[in-house]
Amino acid sequence: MTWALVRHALRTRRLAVIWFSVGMFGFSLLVMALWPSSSDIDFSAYLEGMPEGLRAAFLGSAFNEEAVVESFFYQYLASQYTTWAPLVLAYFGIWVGSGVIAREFDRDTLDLLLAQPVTRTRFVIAKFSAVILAAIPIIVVSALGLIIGVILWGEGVELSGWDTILIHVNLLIFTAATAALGMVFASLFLEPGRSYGLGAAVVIGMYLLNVVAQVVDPLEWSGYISLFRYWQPLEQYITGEFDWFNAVALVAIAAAGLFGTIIIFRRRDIAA
Amino acid sequence: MTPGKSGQIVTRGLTKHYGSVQAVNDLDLEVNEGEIFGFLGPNGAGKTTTIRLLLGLLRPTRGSASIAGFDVIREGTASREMVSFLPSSPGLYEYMTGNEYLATFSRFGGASAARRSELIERLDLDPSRKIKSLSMGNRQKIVIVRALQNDVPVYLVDEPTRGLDPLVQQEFGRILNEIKRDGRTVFLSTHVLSEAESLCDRVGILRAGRLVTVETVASLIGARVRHFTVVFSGAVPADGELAGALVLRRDGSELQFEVSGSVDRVIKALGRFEVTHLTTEEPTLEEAFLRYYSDESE
Repeated sequence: MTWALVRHALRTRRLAVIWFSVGMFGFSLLVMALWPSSSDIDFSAYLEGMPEGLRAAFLGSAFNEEAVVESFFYQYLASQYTTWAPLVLAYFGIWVGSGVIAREFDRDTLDLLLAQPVTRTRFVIAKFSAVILAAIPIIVVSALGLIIGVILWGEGVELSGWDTILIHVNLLIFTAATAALGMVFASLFLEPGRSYGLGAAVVIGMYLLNVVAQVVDPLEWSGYISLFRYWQPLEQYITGEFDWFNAVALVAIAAAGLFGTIIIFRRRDIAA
Repeated sequence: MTPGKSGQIVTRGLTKHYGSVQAVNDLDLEVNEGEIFGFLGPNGAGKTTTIRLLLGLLRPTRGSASIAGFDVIREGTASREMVSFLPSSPGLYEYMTGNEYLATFSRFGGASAARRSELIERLDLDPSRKIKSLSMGNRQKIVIVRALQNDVPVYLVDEPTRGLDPLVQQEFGRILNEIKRDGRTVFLSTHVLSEAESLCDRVGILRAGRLVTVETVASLIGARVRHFTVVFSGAVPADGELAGALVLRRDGSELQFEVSGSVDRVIKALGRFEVTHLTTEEPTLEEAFLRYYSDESE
């Protein structure tokens, strides 16, 4: 029954998965296709001219690290790819995470699904699993696009394939956390509009909070509230070590979101 | 007439309030095995809320409910294994074909392909088309097949014949009767009184969230007033000569009167006169139903 629900949720979202996969593959390929022409631009000077906040927004917490400052390619990658990919995947996570509950409510199918012999806990877990499974192909083709792009256009660029894989594993966990957030809102409001809207507002707020927290010292603590604080891909490239702390933090946020969804949804009246 | 085993659906003091709105109030109900039970009331009377409580979609404010002996909240999964639900809002995936939709729900509910094919044939449904291209009636057929393809002891059916043509409505009625003969229970919520009259063994009338009566359809109708119009060729009975009748109008040889309850005494009294023409209007469930609602406005 649970697997049937997972399959059903995947099926209802298959077009979204296809289009996001095509889009992310094209995007990562395009980033690398533009690299040869961008390598003539003095990117360091461009970034140095930016306020610290903007630089932090592009480069994350590694924005002052020597390896990043010295590596023109890292700066390019951070500003063109690793900044935007999580925003796209956060959108996907919120949209699909909310949608697996709220869209069912909107089309009157939630009643039918919950009238089946399945507990609400299993229902939520099945839906969450489906969102993660749906995100996997998008993230895989995104990483593939980057690796293929480096092979085709990345002359002189050294990009570790293993680090790229690990970064995308982190991106998947990041997406899972946003999806869990979306599911919390969907279980609270049920309506798609409010769930998507509030979810999107919270993600944007978290992004801005992360930027502000990195440049305004008294607010540094507040950055830890933001999901984006735990997305530090350049650290991976610089150190070559998997960022366990951030990965565990993102897993904890996803688990907390999932747990919260279960608690809310189990007691939720499903009224027409 | 009341069928066999009792207690397939049982509610005890079942109550649901939304703030100050009392959607369902102290509902005590017992629906038996092998019975089609009609749940009547106008829109907003609390019929759908009751069904949602039985499915565990809503949590009761107080009271309890069980299906096939399983408490709908504490043993929700087990109780929902015993039930199939036909909702008033179709709940369709527009991008699927009918076949895909039915197969999806068959995976959830463990329905048999043979039963599905039989229902599709009997309701004259083409399930190969995309749902978004189907008429309202054909969409409703898909919803019916989805619900009735499951082999369960209890069927909760909410306003099922919306959009169906009369022939399909008849076939749907026959299918429900077969389900009943198999010993299953059908809980039919409707405001179409002719539907309840033709299908149900017993009906419960719900008014503003309260159950005002539960009776067999026959006794509900039998208790109603019948109207007679009789034309006599000879003497016309005087007031008091027709025991149990209340004369409403005299017009030469024609007499109009009404009888409450049994008509036996009146028929025997009429036998003493020469009658050339007699018409009587069969009381309907609608009349009985309206009585409960006219009482409210008085």
